[in-house]
Amino acid sequence: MVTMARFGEVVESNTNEFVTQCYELYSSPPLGSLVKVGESETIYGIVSYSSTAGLDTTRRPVARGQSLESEQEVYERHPQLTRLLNTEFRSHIVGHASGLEINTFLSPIPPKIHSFVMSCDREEIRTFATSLDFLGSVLRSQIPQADDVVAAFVRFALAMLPDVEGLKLDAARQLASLLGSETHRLESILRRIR
Amino acid sequence: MALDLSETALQLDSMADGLKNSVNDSNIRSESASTLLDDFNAKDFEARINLSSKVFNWSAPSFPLRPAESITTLDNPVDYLAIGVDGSHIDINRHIPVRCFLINTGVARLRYGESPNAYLASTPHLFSGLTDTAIFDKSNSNRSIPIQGSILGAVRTVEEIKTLATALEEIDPVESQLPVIGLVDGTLVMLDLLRTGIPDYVIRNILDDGFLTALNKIKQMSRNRKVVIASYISLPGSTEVMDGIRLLGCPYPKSDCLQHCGNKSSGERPCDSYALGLLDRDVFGKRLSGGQRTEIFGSSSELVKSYYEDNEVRFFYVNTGDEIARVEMPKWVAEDESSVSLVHSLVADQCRLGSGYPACLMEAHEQAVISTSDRSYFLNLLEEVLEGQNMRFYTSRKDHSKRIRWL
Amino acid sequence: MTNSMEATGKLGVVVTGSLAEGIKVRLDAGYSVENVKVGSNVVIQGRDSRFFAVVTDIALESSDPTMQFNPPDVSDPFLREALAGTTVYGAVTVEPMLTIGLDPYSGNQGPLPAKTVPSHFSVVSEAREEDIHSVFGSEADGGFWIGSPLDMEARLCLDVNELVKRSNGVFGKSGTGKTFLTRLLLIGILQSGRASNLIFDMHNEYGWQGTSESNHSVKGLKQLFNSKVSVFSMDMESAKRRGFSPDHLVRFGYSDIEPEDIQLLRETLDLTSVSADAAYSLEAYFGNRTWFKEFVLLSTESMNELAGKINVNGSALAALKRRLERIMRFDFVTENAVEDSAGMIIERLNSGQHVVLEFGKHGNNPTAYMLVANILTRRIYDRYQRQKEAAMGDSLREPPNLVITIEEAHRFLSSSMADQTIFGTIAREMRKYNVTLLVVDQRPSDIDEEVMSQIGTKIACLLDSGRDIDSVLSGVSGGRKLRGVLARLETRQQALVFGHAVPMPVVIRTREYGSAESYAELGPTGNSQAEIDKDIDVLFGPS
Repeated sequence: MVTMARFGEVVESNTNEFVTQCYELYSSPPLGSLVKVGESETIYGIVSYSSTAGLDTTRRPVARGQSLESEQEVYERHPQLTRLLNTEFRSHIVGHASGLEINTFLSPIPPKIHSFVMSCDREEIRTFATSLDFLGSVLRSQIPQADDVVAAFVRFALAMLPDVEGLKLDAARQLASLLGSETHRLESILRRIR
Repeated sequence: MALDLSETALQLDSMADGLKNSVNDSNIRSESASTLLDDFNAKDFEARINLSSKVFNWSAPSFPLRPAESITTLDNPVDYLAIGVDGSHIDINRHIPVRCFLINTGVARLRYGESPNAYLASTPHLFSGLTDTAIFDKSNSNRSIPIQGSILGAVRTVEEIKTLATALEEIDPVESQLPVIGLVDGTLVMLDLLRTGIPDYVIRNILDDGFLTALNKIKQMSRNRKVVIASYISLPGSTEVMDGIRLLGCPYPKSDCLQHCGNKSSGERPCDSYALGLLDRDVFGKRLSGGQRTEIFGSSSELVKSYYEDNEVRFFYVNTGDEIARVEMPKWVAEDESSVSLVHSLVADQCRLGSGYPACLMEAHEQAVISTSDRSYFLNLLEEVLEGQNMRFYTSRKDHSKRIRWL
Repeated sequence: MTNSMEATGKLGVVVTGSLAEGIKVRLDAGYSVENVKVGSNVVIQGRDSRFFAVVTDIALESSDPTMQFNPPDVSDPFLREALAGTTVYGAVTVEPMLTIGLDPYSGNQGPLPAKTVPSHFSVVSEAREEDIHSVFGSEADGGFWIGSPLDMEARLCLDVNELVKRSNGVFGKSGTGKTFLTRLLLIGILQSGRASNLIFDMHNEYGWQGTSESNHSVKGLKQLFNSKVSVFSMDMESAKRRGFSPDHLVRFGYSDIEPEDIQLLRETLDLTSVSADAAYSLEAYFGNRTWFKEFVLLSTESMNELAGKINVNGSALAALKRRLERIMRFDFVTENAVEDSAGMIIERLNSGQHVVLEFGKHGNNPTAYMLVANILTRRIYDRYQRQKEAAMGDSLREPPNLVITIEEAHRFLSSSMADQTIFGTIAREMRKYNVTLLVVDQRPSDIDEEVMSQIGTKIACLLDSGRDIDSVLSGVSGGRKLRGVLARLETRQQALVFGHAVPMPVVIRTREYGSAESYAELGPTGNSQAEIDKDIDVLFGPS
């Protein structure tokens, strides 16, 4: 039984996405990664946005390192920073498991606050990587980084499933179907996948 | 209703004009005061105090041998632990029919050096019920005073010191090899208790059972480890030393203020030429360069002299680089030279790290602070709890009008 | 993913279309548009029926309308592959021809003409051998293997029974393989025993020996079916030069020539209609078997006198005489008939033989060809008519079915001629008297429209004239869509077959003829190994 990496906990949740606060500063999974949340009613999401900022929105970080040698030193000289800064990431919900089956569409109810957010195993990634319809909702979502998220997911899937034949071309084809008449958009996304 | 800013601006302008004139006078006085410090003679001063203390209008603090000294710290500790504590509270609101108050203490424990880390936390403590929300006379349980207003302030300070003591106790063995400074914000002199009308049993209760007990606990700890505590006062408005300078500069052998200057108004008295309108920090501001501190003075407060004993409050002024701050510490810290050095260098380092204010105190404050929304959230929570117990929650019209701003 | 598509034969799915415009099929991502040929056959599995269709058009489409103005950077093979079959794809238009019921292989519900369209997203696949057999029948069912559908090895069969019920036509530009196809059809008819053949062989191709495109000689009907075929000739020397003896030399007498023949030869003899019509007057005057002889023996003065008597223009008459003298000069025309060639031919036909009439050197002379064909056919038809009427419905006494093969048929069957020649009559009367035509022609637009409409089965090789294509396809349902198919046939060995002998129009690659195997298959059963070995020697030299 492979232990899954646990990234953090859900602090905001709605039908379309959930926000995870990371346990450790800067340790959010990369853009496009597939993550899952919830022990019994598992919900799957793709990391679509990541941010690090002060825990207290009224306190902004100030530049502190002018006289210091390295960036590392800034954190060493002000140890409270790691407590006062917070990394969190948003995940766009793309599927859920009911029983043993994984459905690649929105779950009926969003994840609970304080659910643990974890990395996914190969089989889970494969399920999503071979049936990319769910990326349609990301492509239509209006977030400015949608195309990058889609490309990042494909790169993530390719990296996690190096032994699956023809995955790259298959994904490219599915994206072409999803994008229909937007050939140039497809082109720019495919360039980010190579 | 809105503030008439244009009218206010006019008034501010005329005030500024007046100020300019007074600045010049201040500088002259400051110079004179400074000179007195330079010429200080401890024996003479002691004699003066003995002679005049009963008739002198002001209380002079105890002076060090050489009050004119400006001391630079040579230490620059790299590995140390700074623990800052601060508190805030939600007062009993007389508009709410429940006796309770909330004190929120914040702790910031910052470790510097080889393995830097930080621990930040806040702990709320709800005081409710008759016994917890009032101070009782031990000799006469019928006598009690509800904890509110300035007494609440004092209780809060006690909580802060207790929290500091606990935090110092909880340092794990590995870290206990490091030098530690515990800092609180504000004066160690419980000025709140000096108000008239506060009975003695209250003072005893707060000081003896609370404040001083905690300080003694810390003193115990300091026997085995390098632990020092101090309090930091930013922008100190104290004139304690200036009051002593008045005595120094008084032309009369016996400074009988009533006799010599009873009919004189402020500004006409001889000592005014050294001290009128000046704060301690004004004079020391001109003498201390960045990082330097003054010698140690002793608090002139009667309260301190009566109750504090070994915890008598000592203080020095220090130029943090951004301001002249007042640092107070108990006698048992002040008497140990290495401890004083430690306080001096660590406070200086903390202020550097905190861009002008000790970093651990800033973080402690952030942990302790109760925002307006938290405040009203607490009240809502209270309302829910009470309603759950079927107690109607009604407020006075004034409170209602403050809470709901209506047109 | 890409090649497995082609392995299963699935092309794609039906996306839109109509009966009038054809059904549009969107090619699957893995199927290259370059692998689809117009004219090839596909099978569409609808919800309730199986459709058999022909590819009539192929197009390139894209789901991105701006693609053609702003194409993406396709120097990148990865992008190209991603786009192929998704954003850009092939669209094939097919014409549903037949529906086969739910159970295509039990043969319970044979193919019916398609009266509806397959439902959306029906799967379209390449036709397989079983599909071809279920539609066109097989040799086991009595069909005649004429060739294979495009890109398939399956044997596509004609229904010979249907074939001989009506007149048929083989059309195509010269050099496109009409002769080969005609020969195969004749063999098919011969093998079936359903009709006798009478072939007017203009270029000596069908009787003893013919030539292939590569100038190898191929066997003629006589060589393959010795006992069943008689070869008559118009030119003994030509036959001898080619190494065989014909069974009979055909001769005619003056008395065999009739005014109708003159009408037919009006163009080739360059006669005015007045001159040609004069023959009728002459016949009336001199009597029907003697007019020719009497007329050509006349002197000039007698002729002028005659002109006045029969009220025909003198110069017209003179012109006629001159032309008739040309006919006299043919070496197969003698003053007195020495035999009844027509009767001999009829006897052979009646006894179940097939007759090839070779023209030798006369094949190059249209006048000779048309005259002989007309005379003989008239006689034969006449006899057939009488025989049939005498039989009065008793099929055992009726004459056997006869198929008359004529080449350059447009000369006989043009609009102006069709009414007046026996061939026109035969074409129009269908099989009233058990006689039908097999017309071979490279200019079908010159053939009378009505005659064309009576032709039951047409086999069209490549035609390049729009008018020729129109005339061949006129009256054919879905003809408009077959135009594209017809215009894109290869120059050789490909033909479009449609009509009664096939359930639906189909493009075939003509079966091979000229190898020992082909002779073995086509020849009568009982061709000994010795004969086959001899043939191999003839073809490839002694081993």
